[in-house]
Amino acid sequence: MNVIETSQLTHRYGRTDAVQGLDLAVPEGSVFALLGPNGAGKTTTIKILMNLLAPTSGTARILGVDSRRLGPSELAQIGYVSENQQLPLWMTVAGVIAYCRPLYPTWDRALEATLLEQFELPRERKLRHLSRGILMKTALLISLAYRPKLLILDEPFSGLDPLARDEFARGLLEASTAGDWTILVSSHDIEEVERLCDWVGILEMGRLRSAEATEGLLRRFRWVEVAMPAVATVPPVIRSSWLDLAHSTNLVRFAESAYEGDISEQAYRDCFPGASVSVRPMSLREIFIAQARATRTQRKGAAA
Amino acid sequence: MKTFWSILKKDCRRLAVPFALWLFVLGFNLWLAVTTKVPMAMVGNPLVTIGLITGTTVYWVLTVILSAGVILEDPPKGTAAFWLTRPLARGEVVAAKMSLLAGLVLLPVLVHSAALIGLGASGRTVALSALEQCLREGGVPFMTAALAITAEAFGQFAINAILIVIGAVVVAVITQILLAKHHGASTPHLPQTPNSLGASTALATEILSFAFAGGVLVWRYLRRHARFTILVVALGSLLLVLTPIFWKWDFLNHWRVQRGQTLPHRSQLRFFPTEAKGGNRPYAFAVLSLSSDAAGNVTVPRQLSKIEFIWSGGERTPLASFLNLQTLPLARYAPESLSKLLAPVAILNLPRRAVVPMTLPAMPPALRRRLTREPATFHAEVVASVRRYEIMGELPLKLGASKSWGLFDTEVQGWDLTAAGVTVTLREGSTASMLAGALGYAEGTQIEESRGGGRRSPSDFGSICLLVNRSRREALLPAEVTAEGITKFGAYVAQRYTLDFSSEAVNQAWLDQAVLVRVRFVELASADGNLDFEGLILSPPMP
Repeated sequence: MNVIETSQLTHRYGRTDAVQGLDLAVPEGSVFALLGPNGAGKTTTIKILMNLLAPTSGTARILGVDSRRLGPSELAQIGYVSENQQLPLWMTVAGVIAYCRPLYPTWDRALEATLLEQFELPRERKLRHLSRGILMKTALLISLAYRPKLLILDEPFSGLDPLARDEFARGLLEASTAGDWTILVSSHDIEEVERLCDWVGILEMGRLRSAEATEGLLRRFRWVEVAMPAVATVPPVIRSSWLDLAHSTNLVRFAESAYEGDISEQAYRDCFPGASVSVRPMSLREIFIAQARATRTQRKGAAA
Repeated sequence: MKTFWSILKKDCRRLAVPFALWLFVLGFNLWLAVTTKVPMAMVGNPLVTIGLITGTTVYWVLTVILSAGVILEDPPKGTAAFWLTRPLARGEVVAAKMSLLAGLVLLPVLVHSAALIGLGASGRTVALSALEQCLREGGVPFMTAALAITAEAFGQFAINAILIVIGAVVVAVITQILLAKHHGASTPHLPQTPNSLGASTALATEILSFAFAGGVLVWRYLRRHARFTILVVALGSLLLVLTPIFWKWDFLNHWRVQRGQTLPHRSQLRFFPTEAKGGNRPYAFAVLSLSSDAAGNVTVPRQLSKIEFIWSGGERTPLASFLNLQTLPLARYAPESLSKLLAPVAILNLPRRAVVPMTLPAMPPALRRRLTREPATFHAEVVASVRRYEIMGELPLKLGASKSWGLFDTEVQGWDLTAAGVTVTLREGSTASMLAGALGYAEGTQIEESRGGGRRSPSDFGSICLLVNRSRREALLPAEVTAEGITKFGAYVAQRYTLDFSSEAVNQAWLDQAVLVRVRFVELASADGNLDFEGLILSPPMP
């Protein structure tokens, strides 16, 4: 079952298409990372999901309800942490917790205490006096303590220093063991997301480039380097699954997006006879960059 | 309901500091109003004057801040507000906000009602006054809140509010000028703020402001994705500014009478010159007891034989101002204890062409002798004594001589000596009156005769100009004061006053030694120490 489903979701700001025909499905229980560069449409998509923005066309369903009809009963099952959200900075940490507590019938005081201790939050300090990292952890606490079915994190690592990022990510990982929730996290900070997510969706220019389980994605992508005995030439046939292809004097490099083990490696040897072929796994970051470059190249080609 | 209380408590905590300050200022204003028993124009102590002005200003500024704060704490605009992603029912959010705004309206009403009860007002007076105040002052918090929904932060709200209000006023002024030109008037009527709910226009405007502000608030919170909010609020503000101009339906059914006109039988007759003159306040109000003849007709006399009570929205005592005592209900039902507090105002707000002859027991003997020796000169229509007065200053009777009286300047423009006496022409103007005129708060731009109003002038109430010859120890009181509004570029800028000092004894030699002395009345009383309306004869302003 999918906790989030969008169908041909589109949102325009004036003449700019922020999201174009997005078909997204977030499976229940997954930690789904929505990756994309700045301006890819991640935040817009999340705002539509949270009913903060109305879609120009298409639909978005969240917990089985049309996002436009999200009411208090659905919002009580959704946790939302965003870099853009205006927290009541005049409140203390204890104050904001006390304010939120009665709003949620499922608020778990034991979990609240655990998270308070785990996140090492200063209870009596006002939010305006907190560092960004502590602030985000506070936001995370008031979004987790009621054990939401769905946790949506919009650019949670933005503006955090490396230590704070690490603490936040660790806190999220530890907290996630306390509940069986689905997490949708948008970010352009791929390293942090990589260790959290088991599903990845890549958005670019408002379109979804890919969405699949991280395991499958990492299995599918390989970085291939072909060392030629003489001056390297681009083979006459370039497969569509080869992304970000580059060549130097006697070296050809590309990202294979449809790696099938021995079959693929045999194909490389057929294409580059006598060459030495090395294949290595790619990180999520490398996959993301390879895809982004490929898209850019395609766009340039289309424009030309 | 849990959500409702959560939001209510949270907003109260958030606004605790300005709210406490607001309550303090409310209490301070009440204290100052109770202890200052003379109209603003007559307050001698500059500290008290500053306190009165500052107190009122701060109170309204804080009211605006609180009203906007209630909304901006959980703004319906934008996508970043904390409440938007929390399980808060929109209906409960808007109910909490409306309750807080209602509190800002009702709390002062409670304070005022308590003060009125303390002063001995009847339950009916208190109830009517409370209703009046709710209608009159409720518009401010609710309209502020309506403006606040166009913004996500206070700075944005301030800019939007200023632009929308200025825009609405500019459109209204242009409309008035175009209307005046269309009707061939030489000077356009500027938009006026109907101040009295005794006027249908004012009542309609107040009700509209409530309906609009409340409606737009509920609509915006319940339908959060509504577009064109700023446009809707701007149009609403414009509607409120234009209503006083275009509203013609006098649903309060005021009587329009002429002096000497024969009317159908009525036991009571009420005058509301506000409606009839298009002015912005009822500067005179009378309830008359008249009897009918055999045919059932009532004739309005040329001079009214008895005024039960006369009240004006012009120069008010701080207490009257604080308690909003300027309307029909209170005027009719004010108890004796209140009448005493309000009486100086009632006495001092005079209708057009009224003259102020009086006995001045505390004046120098020569001056007093002069005044009492020729009572016929002064058309003894108003009888009251000045218990205490002070001389504000003097102005030499020379062409171009001028004197600053604080906010305004008086300049001698000329005089005309005849066998019957001397007529002195003064010109008064001030930055404040220019601004008031530009904003449409002036009484009108076609004033031809003196009227009771809020401006200080030689004929104004609370002070008067005497022509004094010190060497002869003689003083003349003006027999008649007329005023003419001066407009420039369609805006009221000043007034020209003509003071008619009737006395055959005055000649050039007398005038050479004369100065204009401005006297301010500090305390008025009748001979027995109480203000007495019996024998008060006024010519009420007629349409």
